[in-house]
Amino acid sequence: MNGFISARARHPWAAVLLCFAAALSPAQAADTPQAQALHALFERDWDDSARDFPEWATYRGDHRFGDKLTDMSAAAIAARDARVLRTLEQARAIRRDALSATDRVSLDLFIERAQRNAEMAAFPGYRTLSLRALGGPHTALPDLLNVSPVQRRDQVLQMIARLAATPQRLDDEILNLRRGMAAGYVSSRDVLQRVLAQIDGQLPADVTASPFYAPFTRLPSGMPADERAALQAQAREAITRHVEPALRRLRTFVADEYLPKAPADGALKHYPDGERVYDMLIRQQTTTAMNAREIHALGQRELARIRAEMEAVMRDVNFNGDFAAFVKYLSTDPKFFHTSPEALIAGYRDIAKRLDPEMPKLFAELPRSPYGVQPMPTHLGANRAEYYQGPALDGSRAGNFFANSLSFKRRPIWAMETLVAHETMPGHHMQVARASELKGLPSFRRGGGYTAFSEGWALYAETLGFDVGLYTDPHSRFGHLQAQAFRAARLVVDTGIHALGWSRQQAIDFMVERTGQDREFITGEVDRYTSNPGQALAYMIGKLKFDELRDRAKTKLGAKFDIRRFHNAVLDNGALPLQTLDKLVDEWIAEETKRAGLS
Amino acid sequence: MMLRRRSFALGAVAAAVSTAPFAATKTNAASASETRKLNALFDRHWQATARAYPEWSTYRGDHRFNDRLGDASPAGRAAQDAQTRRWLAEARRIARGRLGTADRISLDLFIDNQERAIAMMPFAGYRSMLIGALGGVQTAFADLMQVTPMQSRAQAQQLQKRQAALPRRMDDEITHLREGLRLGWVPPREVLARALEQIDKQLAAAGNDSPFEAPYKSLPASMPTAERAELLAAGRDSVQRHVLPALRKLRGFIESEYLPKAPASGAMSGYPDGARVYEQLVRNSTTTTLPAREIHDIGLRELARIRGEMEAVMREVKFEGDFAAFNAFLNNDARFKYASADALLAHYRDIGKRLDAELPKLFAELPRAAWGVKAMPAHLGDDSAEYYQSPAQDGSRAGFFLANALGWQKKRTWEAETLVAHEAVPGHHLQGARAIELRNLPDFRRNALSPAYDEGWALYAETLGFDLGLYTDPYSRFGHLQWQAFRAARLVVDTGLHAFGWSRERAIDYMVERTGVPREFITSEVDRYTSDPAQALAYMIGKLKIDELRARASKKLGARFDIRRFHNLLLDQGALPLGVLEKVADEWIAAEAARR
Repeated sequence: MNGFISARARHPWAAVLLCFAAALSPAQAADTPQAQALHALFERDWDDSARDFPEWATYRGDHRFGDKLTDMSAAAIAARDARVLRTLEQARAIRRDALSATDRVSLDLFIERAQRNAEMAAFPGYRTLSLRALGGPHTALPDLLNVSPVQRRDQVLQMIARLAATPQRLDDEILNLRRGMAAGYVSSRDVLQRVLAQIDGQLPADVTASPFYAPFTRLPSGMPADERAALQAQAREAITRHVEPALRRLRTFVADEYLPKAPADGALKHYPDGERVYDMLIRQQTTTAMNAREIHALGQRELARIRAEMEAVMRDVNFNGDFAAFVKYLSTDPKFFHTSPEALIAGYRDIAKRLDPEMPKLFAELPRSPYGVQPMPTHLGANRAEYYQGPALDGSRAGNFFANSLSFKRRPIWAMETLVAHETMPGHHMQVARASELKGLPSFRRGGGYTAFSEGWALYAETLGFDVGLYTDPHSRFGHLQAQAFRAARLVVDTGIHALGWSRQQAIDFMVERTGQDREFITGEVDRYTSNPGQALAYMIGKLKFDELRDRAKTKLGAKFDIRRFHNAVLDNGALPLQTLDKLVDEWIAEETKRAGLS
Repeated sequence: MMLRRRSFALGAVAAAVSTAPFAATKTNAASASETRKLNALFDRHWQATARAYPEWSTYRGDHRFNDRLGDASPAGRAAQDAQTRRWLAEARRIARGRLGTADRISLDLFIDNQERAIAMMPFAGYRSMLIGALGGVQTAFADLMQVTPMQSRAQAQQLQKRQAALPRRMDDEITHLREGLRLGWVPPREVLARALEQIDKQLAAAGNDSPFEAPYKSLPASMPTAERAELLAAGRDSVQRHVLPALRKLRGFIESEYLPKAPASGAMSGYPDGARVYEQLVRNSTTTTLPAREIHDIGLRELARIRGEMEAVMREVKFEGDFAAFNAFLNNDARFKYASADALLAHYRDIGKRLDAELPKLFAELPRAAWGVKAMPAHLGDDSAEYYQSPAQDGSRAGFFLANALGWQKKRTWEAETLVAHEAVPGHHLQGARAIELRNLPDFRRNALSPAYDEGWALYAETLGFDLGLYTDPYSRFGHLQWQAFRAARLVVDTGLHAFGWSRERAIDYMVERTGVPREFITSEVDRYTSDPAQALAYMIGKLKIDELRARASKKLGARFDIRRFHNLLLDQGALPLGVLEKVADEWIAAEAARR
């Protein structure tokens, strides 16, 4: 339900783009030649990535390429693949043992990212599956325009240039989809039906209602009126002449050529070499070596445990009726809902402000960056999931939890506490803001993301709510458990669909019954798993790793275990693959044993 | 208001350590041995102060001395005075010319602190006035309980010992009060009547409401249940045997000996040598040499300006009726009232969270310490002023805005925004937490208290609300103006009461008419000025100085003026006397103009 979206990760293909991120300003003194070579490599890669992926640069606040879109021609893709291999070679040529401990970790992470990209390049068919249930190149442009600055004329002209570049971008996409089709890779029917609806939603009869046009209605009031009008006319023309025809071509292609070839279900298992692709995605998303069967069984186990706790709450409040009836009562009784968007936002802020002063109990050092709770921009509509946006790296803007206040009638009060803990403190804001302030790390590590780490942390953070005064109301405890059950169910369902032959219907029925969530919502979720295999595993796998490390540290350190120091230890290297985290925590435990022994 | 909650002798400590840091500029041509001598002096002074004032240490999060209370006996007090003179003598022996720039200022501030403390020594009668309208010896021990940690068996035992030390301490305080009585110094009747109520609330609070048992109930859940029960039982026993009898004794003394001698008015001019005491207190509080007459006039001028703006809001909302009627409407109309204590707290939290997100617009670097809102302890009653409590030095406890949740029925929604901006961010919390985190400064500078600076900052911070999305509602803007008017009126009334012969009635009538604040509230305010002379001057005097410095910087730097950097400049030195702050700001303006 809640998505972790820092400024750059709003982008549908950001997951891929992030792999190329590298350091702008390595803070460690580049004193040795090897360290200098490493930092130069980071800088070069950063710059190349901004050039290769101009949208990503925009999300990072680098507007040098704000008039361009990524070149998705076959030649450009091949050139980028070659660059990945070259970069990998250069990274491997650096003598690891000549580096500081921090630089060694940075180098390992850098290589690991490049390897993941190289690995992905080996599956050209899978790589063409860009049209996803939650969006793709067909929906990316409005989001991009919305984060682009519109304060000056040249900035607006950059955006108009991007509108004009859209036909090339989408026509290249069609060619890629055709190549995928030839390789036996087409997204599932249900996903493509959603895609068609998403395209149709962006083609209103009146161009001034177009989502591409919305950013141009927000030109600064300080701009002369005639200049504003001229720019707006230019934008409207670019939309009707370039963007809309290109989108219609994409629509025609999907409806007439692509969809007829679409499989009824999107199980990776049924695609050429699909099992190997899924294995790779599991590895990349969970950053562990678990296989689909193990994950499936783990999900079943967790879900059984959590469901039992949910039923215990039902008995706690003396509810008469079965689980489905209880869930229905919780989802329909007006006493569980705020009565206005403003009241919902104030409710979130109240929870957040109750959490803030508790944080010193959980952390030895907090980030400086504050955070707020804001209603999402209305143009995102009533169906967007909540998301978190990280603070500016230079401290000029706070982090923000963007809440869907338009949907206040579908946001029960008992689901709010666990959501705030997830999105803000001790969840995403704590992790992201802290990472962004780790001046000793290269910036690809300060801003970098591993879903298993960041979402695992946020899910673990929800469970910390018990230590800081949340969930005292049993309904709120139920909300917390439901959110946990939901992520456990993803382990079962994602592997079920892609590796174990589950049908879409089976997946939907299972999740609805087990978690008690709304069927329409779950249907959208299942289509999301279908079109983005393995991604939804990251949350619970990551969370269980944090649980495991905490238990390990507690057992080994005994009375010397300090939860505040432990939490800083897991966060203070920035986001990491879980296996690296595991190793670093072991090192920390060893140091902590010594430290405590001396005092 | 900002209280790092009042402990028994907090006033004395404030004088002993209240001073401020200076920009950590370069130490050119400094003598290493002289610098070492200075730092050694600061260290010894800091450690000795921590030992002499153990309650103050507890507030700072230094829990070494949580098992004891400071020595308030005549001999103990005399020893501390002698020590202050020795600190001064020692500081004066340091060769100032051989120190770096930053250290010179530190030395000046250190000397100034000792001198101010010594300047109060001749006023033995005034120094015995330990019972204030807001609190004092009658509430200090209960307040201390709120910050007493309870994470282990050892800490529970520390507290038991401290509670056992209370009877002796209370006897010493009573001796001190008697000394004052003999010298003709007794607080006015209203203040003592209030003190009796405060004591009664503490005595009546049993079980879960008892502030003295509360710490024992926060023993960690990880401790075996039996052990927790044992420690709680032992704690209860010590409360029954030591704490409550000591409080009863104080109550008995006030009722039978002290109150019968209390004057009707607390004007300083009515006490022996009171006029000279007031002069010194004005200097201490405002950190300026402004005479009472000038302060009085500044108050009249500011009040006239603000009242004009308040009346403009009245016209903006098209209210039909006069100023008093408008205030009656604001105070009586149901739309401005809260539905419950929880609704009040939730409203404060909502405002606080809105403010948090906007702070990066106004500050280049923020403190790490978190802050929250909670209800103030019940024993303070439903008419106590709300206050701010600093975070622990070591980051283990957040800062808190303590809201008067009990008094929710008297609170109005339109005054909440300016209040949160004052107590929390960008007001007291931002300043206090930032100061504590300035690790490159000596301890005494990070913990400096200076009302003209602290309260001036918080009052100025209220005006920053306009840049942070507050006051878009005209009623809320009126609330903001009313609170500004209220602080301007203090300049008039405090000087009026203590220097120009105003009666309590006249002071109350004047403030009610000018500000529109309800009479009941103003009455307790006036009693506060009476029992804490000159303290209330600090707010507006400090705020006006910050306004002046901002206008100067903005004018001189033009397009180079960066408000985020300017605000950090004001905060990054810790609390400073206003004169020193001005010098620092001037140097900053020059440096900023030269910056590329």
